[in-house]
Amino acid sequence: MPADDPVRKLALAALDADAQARDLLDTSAATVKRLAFSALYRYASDPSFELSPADAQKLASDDAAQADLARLIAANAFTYMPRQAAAASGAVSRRESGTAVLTLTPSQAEPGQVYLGVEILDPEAVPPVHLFFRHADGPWRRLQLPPFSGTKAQMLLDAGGGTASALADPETEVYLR
Amino acid sequence: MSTALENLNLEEGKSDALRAVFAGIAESTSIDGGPRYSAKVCRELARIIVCRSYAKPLLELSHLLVAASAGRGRYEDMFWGMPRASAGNFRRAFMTLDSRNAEILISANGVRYEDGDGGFQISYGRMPFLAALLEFMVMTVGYPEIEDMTDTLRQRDVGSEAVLDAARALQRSLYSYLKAHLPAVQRQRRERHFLTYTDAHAGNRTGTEAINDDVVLGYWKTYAASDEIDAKTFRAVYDTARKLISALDAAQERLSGAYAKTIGTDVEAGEVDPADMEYVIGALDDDQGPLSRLIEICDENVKFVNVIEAETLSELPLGDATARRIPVSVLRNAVFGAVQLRISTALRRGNMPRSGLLPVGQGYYMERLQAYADIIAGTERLALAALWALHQACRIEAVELALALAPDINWGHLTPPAVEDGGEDVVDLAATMAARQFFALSADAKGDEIPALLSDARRAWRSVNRTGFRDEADEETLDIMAAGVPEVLRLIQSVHRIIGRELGVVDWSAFETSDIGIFAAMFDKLYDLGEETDSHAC
Repeated sequence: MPADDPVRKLALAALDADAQARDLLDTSAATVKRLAFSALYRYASDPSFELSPADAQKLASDDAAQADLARLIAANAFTYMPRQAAAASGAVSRRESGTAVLTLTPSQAEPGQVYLGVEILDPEAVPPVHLFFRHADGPWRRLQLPPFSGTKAQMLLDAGGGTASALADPETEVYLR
Repeated sequence: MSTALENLNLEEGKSDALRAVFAGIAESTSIDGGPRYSAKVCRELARIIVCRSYAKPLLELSHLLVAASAGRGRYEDMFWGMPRASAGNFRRAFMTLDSRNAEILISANGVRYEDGDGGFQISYGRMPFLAALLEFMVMTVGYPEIEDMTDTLRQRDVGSEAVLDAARALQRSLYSYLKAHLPAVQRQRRERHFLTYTDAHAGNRTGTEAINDDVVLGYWKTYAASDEIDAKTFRAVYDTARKLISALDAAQERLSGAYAKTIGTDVEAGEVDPADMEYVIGALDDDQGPLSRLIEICDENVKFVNVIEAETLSELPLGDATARRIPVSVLRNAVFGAVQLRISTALRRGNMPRSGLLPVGQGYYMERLQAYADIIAGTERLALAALWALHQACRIEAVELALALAPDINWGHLTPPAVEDGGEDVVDLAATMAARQFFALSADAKGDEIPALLSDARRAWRSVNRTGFRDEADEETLDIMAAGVPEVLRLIQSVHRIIGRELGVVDWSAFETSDIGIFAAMFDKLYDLGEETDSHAC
């Protein structure tokens, strides 16, 4: 069979491509494994779904996945509360949008703790289940909200903890979803 | 030299991002913990990416996005809200979709998009692959970008031109991504080396016909101990020959057919059409045959074949022409390929046995053939048992199984008298009535042929004790069993064909006499086994 025989050329080209396809699917050879978008979708939509620590680490360090998550959160979001105006300074204790109000109130009974209050303005609306927030250009973080009683939900946070500090920072943007 | 090495390293590094995406998709898990996409879907995805034959699948995907967005204008929940990407889950999701788009027609077979310009049909079986393709697009091009490109597809009234525009935008974005991340294909040296040897020893034979048992054995004997190419194991040489046989056969079949060439391919200049290439790779994939498909469908749930049986049957090339072209090599690989593997494993572990490695006396090839026959007889018994379970559950697959297991039975009296000029509807009605009568029959060992067959099936069911073949078989088990029916029938048919028509006609006793000496001498040469194999070589 001559080397330029079209059947031979096609067969060899296909075997070369097949080897490359198998190589690309060899997961043991992948030094980095990206978090699948389907996992990201569940993370954004399913309150009962938690990322494993390894997957959470993957998400935190993957800029493209962060951009995907940002768009996912924005789609179908209950409301968005952007970063505060540049003139704003000091801690933020209240954020408002057209549909919800977020407050941070120090606990009188438990020093060192702060109440996060979420109030939705439309009593007929389906209340959000998640709060997503991001400080400056850091990774998105998710906080599961407690069940709403009427239009309000409230939860206690550690005042010095990362979540309360981030929510009090004017550089933090927030989505309720 | 250093430039070539640098280029190679650059090429390898180029694919890291792509590899990371494939790893993410292949290892993505479903809600119940299993893989989200089947291995078959992942292979098909890798195939269209490597062959760059993604234009048509992206057009299909664009149509599917229109259909999936027909409910609330969002497609995400359809693709990623379901437990796993399977045809059944897509069927259920579409059947419950409250479509606001009159151009989307949803049926039990799939989704049809009627745009007044011929329409577009997508089966549920195709959807898991298209879901994996969408996930791939999102993970490579980016979700915000895909959202923007497909925005028009989510609107209430979508024209075919808008679908085409979106598909073209997706193609352009993927083209750009692959330009940066898909390295040039590496030429496989092993196959080319083998073909060159074949050319020199083929006489006047050409094409796949040139690869025969003498060539396979001759190549191994020539190069097993050579530094020129890695051909130390007979199994590796056999696998190379097998791959070449499959690829050459598929290429011959493809090029002799009247397929439309992809626009832009300069065949005269020696370019290979990506669609042709994908066809041949697809054939290589299908060559894994009914055994791997059966295992993929039934997994741990319905054990038509257990692990040991599957391992033995996997020695047979069930889905291609290998057994017809190089029948002796099939059993040489099964017997001596396995011996060589044991030798190299033992040497690696440093505990080389001095005896018992090679088959003793005559009959070792025939024993192997008998082992395949025994296993497949057991599989037939399990298929008969499955007939009982599926008949009891009134599953239509029981009909296919019964017809295949008892082709000589007179099934005619289940069919009502033919009605002239009735058209297709009458045929459908007749089939439905025949099936209804079939399911109304009871097992009776002393009854007519069909009740007697059902009695045999019941006896087989009661005598089996395997996963999936027990009385508590639930709906999901029955679903899996029913889905496995076509593959188990193909498996039975393939094994019978190979051990009967292809391997059964060889004079094995002659080969048994000569092969023991040939392989013993080669193993001695390769592994310095000393006295033990010398005695066999004499």
